[in-house]
Amino acid sequence: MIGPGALVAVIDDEELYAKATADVVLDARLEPVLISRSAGQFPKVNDLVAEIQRSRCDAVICDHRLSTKGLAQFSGAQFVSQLYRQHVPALLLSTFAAIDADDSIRRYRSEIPFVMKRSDLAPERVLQGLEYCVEELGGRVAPERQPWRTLVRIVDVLPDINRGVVDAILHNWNPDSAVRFPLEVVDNEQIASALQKDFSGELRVFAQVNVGCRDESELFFKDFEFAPEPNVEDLGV
Amino acid sequence: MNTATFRFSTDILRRLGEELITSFDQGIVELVKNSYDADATKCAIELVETNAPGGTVVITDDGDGMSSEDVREGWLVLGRSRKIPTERTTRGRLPAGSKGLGRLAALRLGEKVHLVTRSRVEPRTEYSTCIRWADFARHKVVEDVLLPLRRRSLSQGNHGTRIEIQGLRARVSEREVKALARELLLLADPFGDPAGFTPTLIAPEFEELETLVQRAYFDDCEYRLLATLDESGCANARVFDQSGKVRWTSRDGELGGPYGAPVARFELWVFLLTRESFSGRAATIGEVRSWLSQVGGVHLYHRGLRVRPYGDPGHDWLDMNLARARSPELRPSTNTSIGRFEVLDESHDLLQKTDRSGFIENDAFRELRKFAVEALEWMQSKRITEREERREIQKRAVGDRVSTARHDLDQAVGQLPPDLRKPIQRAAHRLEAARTSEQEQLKEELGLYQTLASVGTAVSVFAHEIEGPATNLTTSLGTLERRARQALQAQYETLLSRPVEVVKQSADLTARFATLPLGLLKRSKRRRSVLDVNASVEDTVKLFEPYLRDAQIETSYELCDADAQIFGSVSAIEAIVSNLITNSVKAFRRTGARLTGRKIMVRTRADDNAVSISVLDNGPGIDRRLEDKIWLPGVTSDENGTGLGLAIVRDTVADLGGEVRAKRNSDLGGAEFIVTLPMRRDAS
Repeated sequence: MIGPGALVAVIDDEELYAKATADVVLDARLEPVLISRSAGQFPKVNDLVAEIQRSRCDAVICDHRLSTKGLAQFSGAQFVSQLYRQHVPALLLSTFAAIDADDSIRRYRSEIPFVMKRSDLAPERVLQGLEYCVEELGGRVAPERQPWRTLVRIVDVLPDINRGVVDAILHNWNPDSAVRFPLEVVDNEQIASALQKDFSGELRVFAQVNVGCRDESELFFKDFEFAPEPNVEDLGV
Repeated sequence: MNTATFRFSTDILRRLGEELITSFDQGIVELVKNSYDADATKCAIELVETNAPGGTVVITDDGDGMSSEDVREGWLVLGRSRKIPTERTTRGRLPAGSKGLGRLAALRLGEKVHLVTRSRVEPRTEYSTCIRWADFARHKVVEDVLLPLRRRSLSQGNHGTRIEIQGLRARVSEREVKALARELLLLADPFGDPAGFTPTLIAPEFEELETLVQRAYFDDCEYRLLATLDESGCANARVFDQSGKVRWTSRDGELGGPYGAPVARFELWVFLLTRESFSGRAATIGEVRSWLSQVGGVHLYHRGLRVRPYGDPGHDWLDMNLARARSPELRPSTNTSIGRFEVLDESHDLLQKTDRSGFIENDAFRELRKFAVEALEWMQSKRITEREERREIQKRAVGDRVSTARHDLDQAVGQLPPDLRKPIQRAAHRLEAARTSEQEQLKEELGLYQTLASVGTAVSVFAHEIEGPATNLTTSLGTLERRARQALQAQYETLLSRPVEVVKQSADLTARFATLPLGLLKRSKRRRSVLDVNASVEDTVKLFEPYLRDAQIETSYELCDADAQIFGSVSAIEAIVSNLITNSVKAFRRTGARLTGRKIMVRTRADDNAVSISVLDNGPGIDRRLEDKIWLPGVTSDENGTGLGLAIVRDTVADLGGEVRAKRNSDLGGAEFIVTLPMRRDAS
């Protein structure tokens, strides 16, 4: 529970935005601690984690794009996922949610309980979001965040500035439209490697996916495994 | 003083063997490597009734065999090798085998192991032992199980070792036999110098694969890279063309380095799997492709034997496929090349992982990989430079070809009877004039598209930069409102409510305008798939709603109830609908257009074969003077317009296999544009 007076780090590489967010935090009766370009630069994720530990913050609100003004060399999504492992409740704030959701946010989405659009920023939403994170970190995972073993039909792999992006159909999500995710989330080396080749045709794999979520931008993927091929011998043919 | 020592539970055998090495073929290959280290020239693996549990695997070699001491102090000792890694055998081999964990895994595949060995140094003597794993299960510690070591004198006989693994716990599937066959064939570098060691599997799968592997297609490669790394860590490389001539040679230091790695040799054969490059050759593309699918990839040979998983399907240790995905031009992939990376490693710098899944990634290994990757990069840069030079020559040749053709035509006409010359010359001039005019028009169209592309880039930058501040403005305004309400209470409504609302709406509008181009730019929208036309049309019009409201235009829909599906991309529908809407909005700005009651309607219809999208308005209709020319690029009745909107609609519709037509007077009184697109056929 994040109660009144709790210290909340507000991280944004744009000082002006950080101040606006801090005002909202203040109106939620929380105590904002601004971490912006004037606080220094953070080449590595652990540098910023250390800063959070030093400032003894109870929770974090972090913008997704941190490198535009040179605050950090990593994304807010990567940082928030790191905090998740350290059991620090953290909200990810995104201005360009529609553009970043498929790729740079989805890469870490399994460890980001709550993504807030900047346009939704308001005191009650901040409190709700932080509470949501606290619940999940306490093991009370909301149904829409619960992953299920799901058949993933990969239909396309496109080159990208990073390793590439994958388009896949999840039949129990939407059988008509593909969902996109970055190749980096494919945590099975063999599958990732098969996709990096001149991929053509289709590949069926299993992954843990939170297909109970409300919006496509909330989907995450992990624990990929090859869907077993039917073995003729096993069928006794 | 009492003493005590560690003793090992019999469970440890299971954990060390079965949990470290999990695949059947990997375990067997470890035994074959032991044969190589024992200087064998042949090693045969026989599978007896292994298609059901209880079968037998027999491994026989003609190596040095073992004395009783070798069995006791070597073969039965796990975790330590008797061989010194830097010392060569009688045949000059450097040891390639493991410290016995792989051996243990293989031996535990069955209920019982029978070892028979005859040492070269103890002629006519045979030692044998039998391991029954059930005995171990009955004892607490390994040392409590004593194995009999029998000696037998023989009147004659050759040296070598035979291991029989009996009572296999599981059946060996067809897939496992194939994997073992491939593993054994590739083990002793079938492509390079014969290592004097031939492992064979007695199974039909092996013979099939052997024929395929031995039918090497190296001569059909387009390029061959040969890169070497010498004792001082300096790298050199050459690329040979198909005829074997040296195409490029690296200059000193061009390949990076010096590398802190053992001496190595990297050879890569790159194939161009296209019809043109295979015409007139003995091999077909299909044959080469199937050969590459079995043996392709870059295989790493350490001390003469192949090390897994380098070069295995799906193991791209030089990231060739990744490099190709990032910049595909002229790069080989593991599907279009085969490579051999040889390293003797005299000073034992490379260390294999305990679970035999390749080398530990120490400095020496990383440097070796870096050397190979930089050699590939160097070849790539050479090939790109060559391709650019060729393109430049081709471009010049096009100009030359036109002059030559003109000259040929003049000459041919000159040879005609004088009375025929004139009309033909006139016809040729007319043709040339028409071609020039067409060329000019294409140049003009290209110029307009370039302009629009630049505008698009500028708009996306602008939208990106404006969306943040606009949203931030809304956030801070929210704060201002909350605090003002609290401070002023009832006075807020009279003093601040209205101006705050005005600023809020303006900020909201700015943010919405910023999202419009960003929404259009979403990359996934360019993906082609089955689309619901109604949903795409509605989404696109929604993006434009603030703009339409701002222009005092009321929007309405008349969407069909039937399924209206086409095959295309969201961006294509957006291009059509957004340009038609913008076209209507601009019509309302024409002199004399109505000031109130402005309407735009978007209508969809569907039948068995087609889906149509119509955009109608109650504007002034199509300008009569431009009626015939509206589809031409650059033609516009708006002096600030590009004149490209309808040309883009026309091109996009054509790409989707549809048609577009215009009606001067619609049901609403203004213009109507009707786009007809083919309905998606079922799944096929």
